[in-house]
Amino acid sequence: MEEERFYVLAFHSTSHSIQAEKKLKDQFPILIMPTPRELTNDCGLSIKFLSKNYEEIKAFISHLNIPCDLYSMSEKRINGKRTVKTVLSNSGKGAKS
Amino acid sequence: MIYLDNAATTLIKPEAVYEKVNDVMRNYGANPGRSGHKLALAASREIYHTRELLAEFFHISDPLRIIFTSNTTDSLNLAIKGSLKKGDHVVTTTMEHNSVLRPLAALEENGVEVSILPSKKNGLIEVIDIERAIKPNTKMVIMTHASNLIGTLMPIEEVGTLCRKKGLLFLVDAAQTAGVYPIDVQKMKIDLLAAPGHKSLFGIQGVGILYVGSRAEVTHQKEGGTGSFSEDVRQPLIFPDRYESGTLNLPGIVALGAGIQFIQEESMDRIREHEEALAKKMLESFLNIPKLTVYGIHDAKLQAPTIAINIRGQDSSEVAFYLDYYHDICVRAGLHCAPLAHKTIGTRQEGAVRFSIGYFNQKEEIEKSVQAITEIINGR
Repeated sequence: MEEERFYVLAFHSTSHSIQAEKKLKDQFPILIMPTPRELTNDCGLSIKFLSKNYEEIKAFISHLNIPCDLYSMSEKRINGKRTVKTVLSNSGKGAKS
Repeated sequence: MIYLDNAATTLIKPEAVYEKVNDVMRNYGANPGRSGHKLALAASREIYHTRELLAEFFHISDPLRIIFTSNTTDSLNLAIKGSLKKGDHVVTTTMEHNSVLRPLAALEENGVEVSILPSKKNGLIEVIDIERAIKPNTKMVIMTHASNLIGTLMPIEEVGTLCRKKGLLFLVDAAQTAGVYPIDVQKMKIDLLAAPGHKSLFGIQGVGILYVGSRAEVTHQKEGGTGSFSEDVRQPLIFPDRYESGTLNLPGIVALGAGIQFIQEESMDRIREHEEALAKKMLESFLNIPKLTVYGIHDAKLQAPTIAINIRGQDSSEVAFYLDYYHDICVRAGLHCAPLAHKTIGTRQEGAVRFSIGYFNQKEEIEKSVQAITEIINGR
């Protein structure tokens, strides 16, 4: 059985988070929230996708002209941590550094 | 009370500006760009919204290249000190405010070469004079969009075109024009634009902006918290975080957004036409009064609505005092932080009385001011 996962978009700057939220909110059900610790130690904001239209999300993000990184995170935690996979990196160096 | 000191700060703001400041302070005055709770998010969204409004207003393609500062002086310091290094040459004019002249004087002591071109007595600068002043090490041209003393409008687009052709950075001080005169950073080829929130954009005091175009490489002048890259003790280099350390002036920025929306609803053309009509009336009336020296270009179409005069033989500070004390008219006397502009028009010693008109002034106020000047001349 496939593991339950969700997509999270992480940013370096709050301005980028707000900019992206504006572009995404009419396209997908999203939540803006503090960036999960598994992704970065920044105190920035991330966007969590509540839908699982992965292909649509990926296509949209790849054309989003804002520095950001798209991750897939597991619903379940192992040893208190979710597993993380990088789906797309638009930030130049990846938020997880 | 008649307020004619709009070149310093617009006194009356659109109703929406007062309401917006009250709303932000009562309902979501949290710290933008820091915490992730609903109120901090509301604050961040409003700030971003103002960036978008400003971007549209000045034809800036990327809203994140607009930096919020504390005033135009702060913007100019950042643009000037962040761009010029030892050995660089910079060209500017005698019409500039001390917010340009003083940072340049400070840099001059550190090996930056400064050429200050004399404008004509009416404030005008010939583009050819700027072209002639360009040297192999010239990096930047700095020019005010309009003199804060006599209002003369400068040939911004022509100078911008020249700078682009010569590979120079072009910094424009729009303290006297933003909100009344069209500014298009793309068409006018402006690389760095400094503007105040509290003058004709109708925000409150404590906010300025600096637009940093893609050709400009500006070194930040302060470091600190940005809410981003928090694990790194070095300053992040992304826009706008690089230049916006510390808590932003949320009420001021939101008020600025409300001011811009007011201008868009009202139409900038209508605002300018109203101010021009009042300036024309004041100029014509003043020019008809013997004993009065009226400085500048004497044409409401070629100048911002800022009119500098002197009653011959009378101290400008005294005239301003009489206007205030006996006639309840607020103007500014003295040197207006523009010592070289005063030298250019020949008033370095006596200064001048400056009437600066705003959108909320009325025809009757201009008439009363002219009457008051007549009475002061007649010793009443």
